[in-house]
Amino acid sequence: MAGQLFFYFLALLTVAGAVAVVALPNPLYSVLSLVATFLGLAGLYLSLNAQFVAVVQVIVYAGAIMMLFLFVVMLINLGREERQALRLPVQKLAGTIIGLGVFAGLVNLYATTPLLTGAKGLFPAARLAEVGSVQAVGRLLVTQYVLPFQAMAVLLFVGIVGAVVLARRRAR
Amino acid sequence: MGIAVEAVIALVKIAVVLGVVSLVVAYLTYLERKIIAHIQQRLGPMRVGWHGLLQPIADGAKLFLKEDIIPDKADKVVFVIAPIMVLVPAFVVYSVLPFSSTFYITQVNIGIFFILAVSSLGVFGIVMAGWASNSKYSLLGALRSAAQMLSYEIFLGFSIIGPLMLAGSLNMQKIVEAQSDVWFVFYQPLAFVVFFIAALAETNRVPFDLPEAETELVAGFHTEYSGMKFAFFFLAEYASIMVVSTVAVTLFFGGWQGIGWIPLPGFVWYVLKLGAMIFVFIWIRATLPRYRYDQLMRLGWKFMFPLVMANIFLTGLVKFLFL
Amino acid sequence: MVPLTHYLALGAILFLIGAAGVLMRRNAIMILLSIELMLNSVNITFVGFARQWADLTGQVFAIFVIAVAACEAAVGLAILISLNRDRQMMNVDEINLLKW
Repeated sequence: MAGQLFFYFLALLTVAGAVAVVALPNPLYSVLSLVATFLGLAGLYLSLNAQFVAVVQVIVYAGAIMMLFLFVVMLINLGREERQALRLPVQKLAGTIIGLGVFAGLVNLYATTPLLTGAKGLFPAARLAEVGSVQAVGRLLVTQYVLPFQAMAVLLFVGIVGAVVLARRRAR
Repeated sequence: MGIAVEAVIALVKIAVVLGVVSLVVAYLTYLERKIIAHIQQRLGPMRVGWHGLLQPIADGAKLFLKEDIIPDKADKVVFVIAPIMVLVPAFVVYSVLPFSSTFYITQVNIGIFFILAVSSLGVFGIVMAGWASNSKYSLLGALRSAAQMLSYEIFLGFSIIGPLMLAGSLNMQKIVEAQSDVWFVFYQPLAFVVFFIAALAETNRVPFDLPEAETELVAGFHTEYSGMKFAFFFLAEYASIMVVSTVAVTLFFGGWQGIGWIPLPGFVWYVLKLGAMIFVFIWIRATLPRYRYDQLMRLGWKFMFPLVMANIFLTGLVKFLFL
Repeated sequence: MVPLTHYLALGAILFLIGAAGVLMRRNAIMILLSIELMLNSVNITFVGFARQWADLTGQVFAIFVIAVAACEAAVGLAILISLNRDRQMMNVDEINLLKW
């Protein structure tokens, strides 16, 4: 019961934050709402026994990436975004219809597909609590998924170099 | 034991910790003024109470009664939320700190990670305050603070990996128990140096107090704040000094573990170590001049980053070869 | 215990909101933010399935997604900064030249 209340509270926070991100005119408010959304999601990860993902979510997503967004928004000083007309007149309508269609399709899929079958893996909640989420995920990262892990390192390095090269002031 | 009883006990613990921490943090400001005064051959606050002992209370009353000014051009909502965003993470962290072997609010198996995660949110309040004030000094302070805290969080995070590798756990209690023979500061001197420097930068203390450099930016991100909102920033700064000191004591100085033959309760040891740590913070403030911005970044990325990486590598190597 | 379908529905709603943001907002920063929202909706689905099947692959992939998002945000924001420096604009509809 407490778990369900927890879920609905956090889900409400998350969805409200997400709506605010898209709807608020000022980019800075959007960034702050997105931080609230991410904190809600981190709480949901905790309720799914994913402590490591939750902490990474807060440190990397809320702490670092959102800080970067905030930094850029302040740096180029976007005051208020003027409400620009969309270039395609039917864009909004089409977007709404397609979006709701996709949502209906997804819900239909979830409702009709038997999700609860399938073989159980090695880490039910009790085992996870015993090993610890951080240890279990960490071990997987450097054994079974070591290749994607290394690829991720390369990707991050490329990301660093790309960001530096792109944002550097060019000498003219 | 019923859930209700547990909840009441937890609430009482939270109330006790919150009350004690608030009081201690208030007196930390007194301590800082007094110590710096004596280092500079002055007396410091003397008027309110015996040797100025009631000064923090008088300060608190003054700030509480002061008019609360919100600048006309400020972004009202963000301006009001910002001090709260600074204060809340600084206090939430106390929920996982082990004050002694038996007294703590809660134990989480990701303890130290939780502290890192929550304290990484404090910078949002500072940046929001700087932006919402709509003043160029505040904005400059906020931009500096964002870059500084993002960079030094990395060194802070990496510097604790060494001790964590030795302890083999993220749980604060287990980390303390792992140091029953030797404190980790002797195994991990490099990590401690980097941790301490990064902690100074994370708490915006001298010599890294660029976000509020009073000689160039008036008061940086909190230039436009007054009254209780200003007090929130002030309290948050000292609360986070307590937090990083506690983490340092826990990770490097054996937490509530005493030095073998002297029989003192764990809590007393903890307070003694914490006091020594905080004294060093204040001492540094009285001693060092402020870094320039480019020097700060150079120190971080060209000196501390390689150092802390080398420390992790060495720790791993030694652990792999000898343990 | 909250059933998996609730988490999946939450993921779908978040994805939908993010997609709507990408389609309807013309400010480049807003589009990047909406993409972050969509990436997170994928994450909650991954982690939900990880619990459902007691298999940590979902959590591992959530971490990979976060790393990819960090890269995407860094490079995307760098592009925006250099664009803003050269042409003082943020509206993606106006950015219609491959070279200038």
